[in-house]
Amino acid sequence: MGAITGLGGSAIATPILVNYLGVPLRIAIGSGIVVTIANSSTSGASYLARGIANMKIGYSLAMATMLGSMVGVLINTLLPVRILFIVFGLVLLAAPLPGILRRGSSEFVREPGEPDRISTALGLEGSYYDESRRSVVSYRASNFLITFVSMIGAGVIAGLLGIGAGAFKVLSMDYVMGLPFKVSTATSSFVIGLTATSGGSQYLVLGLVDPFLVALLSPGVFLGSYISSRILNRMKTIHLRIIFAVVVWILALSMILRGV
Amino acid sequence: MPSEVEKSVASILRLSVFVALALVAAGIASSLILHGGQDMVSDISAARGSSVGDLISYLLRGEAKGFFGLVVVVLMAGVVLSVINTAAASLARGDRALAGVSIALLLILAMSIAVGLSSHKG
Repeated sequence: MGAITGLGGSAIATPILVNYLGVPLRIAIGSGIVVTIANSSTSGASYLARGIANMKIGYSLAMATMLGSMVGVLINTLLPVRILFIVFGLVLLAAPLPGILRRGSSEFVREPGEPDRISTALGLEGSYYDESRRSVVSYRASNFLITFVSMIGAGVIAGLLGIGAGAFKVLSMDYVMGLPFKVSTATSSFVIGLTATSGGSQYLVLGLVDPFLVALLSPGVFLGSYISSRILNRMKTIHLRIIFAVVVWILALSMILRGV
Repeated sequence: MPSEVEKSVASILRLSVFVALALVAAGIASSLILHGGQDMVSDISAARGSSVGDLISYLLRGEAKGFFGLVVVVLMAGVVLSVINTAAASLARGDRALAGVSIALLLILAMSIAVGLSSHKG
C-alpha cells in the first residue's frame, strides 16, 4: 500500500503499531522510518530498473528532503507525545486531499513544461513507457527552486513523523515540477529511502529504533512493496487515489482520537 | 530506458534488502538454536530503542536482536552505498552535476548522524 500510494510503508505501519499493538509512539516512529527504507529500496529499485523513477530528479530533491528530515527529527524530540499524535493524524488526513480535488481528468499526462535554468543544468528530464497508455511519455522538470523549498517541508514531516511523506513529495513533483503522476510516485518511492536513511540514522543514535520491530515489519513490507511496484504501471491513476484516500483517512482518524 | 548507473543503484538496493531479509531469518534461527526462542518472546508494548552499543552486545550474545540490529545497519548501508556508487560512476563518466549532487547527499547523511549524536549527548 505504501509503495502504491507513494506514502511509504510506515505511514500505514506506525498507526497500526501504536493503536493496535500498544507500541510507544516515538519508538514506532523511529522503527517505522527504518522500515520505510526497506519499502523504498524494494519499490524504488524496481521503478529505477524499469525507467519509471528518475534518479537525477530524485537525488536533486533528496538534498532538500534530507535537510528537512534532520529538522523534523529534532522537532519530534521536543514535542509532547499527545501533540505528535494529533499532528500525525492531521498530516495523514490532509495527504489525499489534493489528489482528490485535482481538477480535470485523473488520467492525464502533462505537456512538458518550460524547464528552468537549474533543471536544465542538472539535466532533469526523461521518458518512460506507460503500459496503461501503451505509449512513451516524455517529460521535463520545471520550477526547481520552488519544488526544492516545498520538498524541505515534506522532509520535515518525514523526519517528524517517521513516515515517507511521499504524498507531499508527489504533490511537489506533480503540481510544481510538472512531472507525470507515475513518475512522481515512482521517484518519490525512491527518494523516501534517502530521506528515511537521514532520519533513521538520527533516530538510531537517539536510541529510538527497536530492531525487533524493524525485523517484524520488514518481510511484510518487502513483499507488499515488491508486488505493488509491479502493478503500478498497469494501474489507472484514479485507482491509486482511491486506495490512497480510504486507507489514509481511517488511520488518520485513529491517530487524532489518540491525541485528543 | 534506465541508465547503467540507475541499474547498478537498483541492484545495490535490492541486494541490501535481500541481505536484510537473510539476517532476519538468521536471527530467528540463532534465537531458536541458542536461546530456544526465548529472546524473541517480548512484550511488544514495552518495545524500546537500541543504541549502536546495544546492538553490538546483542550480536555478541547471539541474540536475535543483534541480527535484527544488523538489519537496520544493512538497510541504511545499502542506501549509502548506492549514493557512493552513483558519485563514483558519475565522476568516471564526467557527469559533474550528478557527482556533485551525490557527494552533497553523502555530506548531508554524515551531518544527520552528527546532529543525532549531539542531540543524544544534549
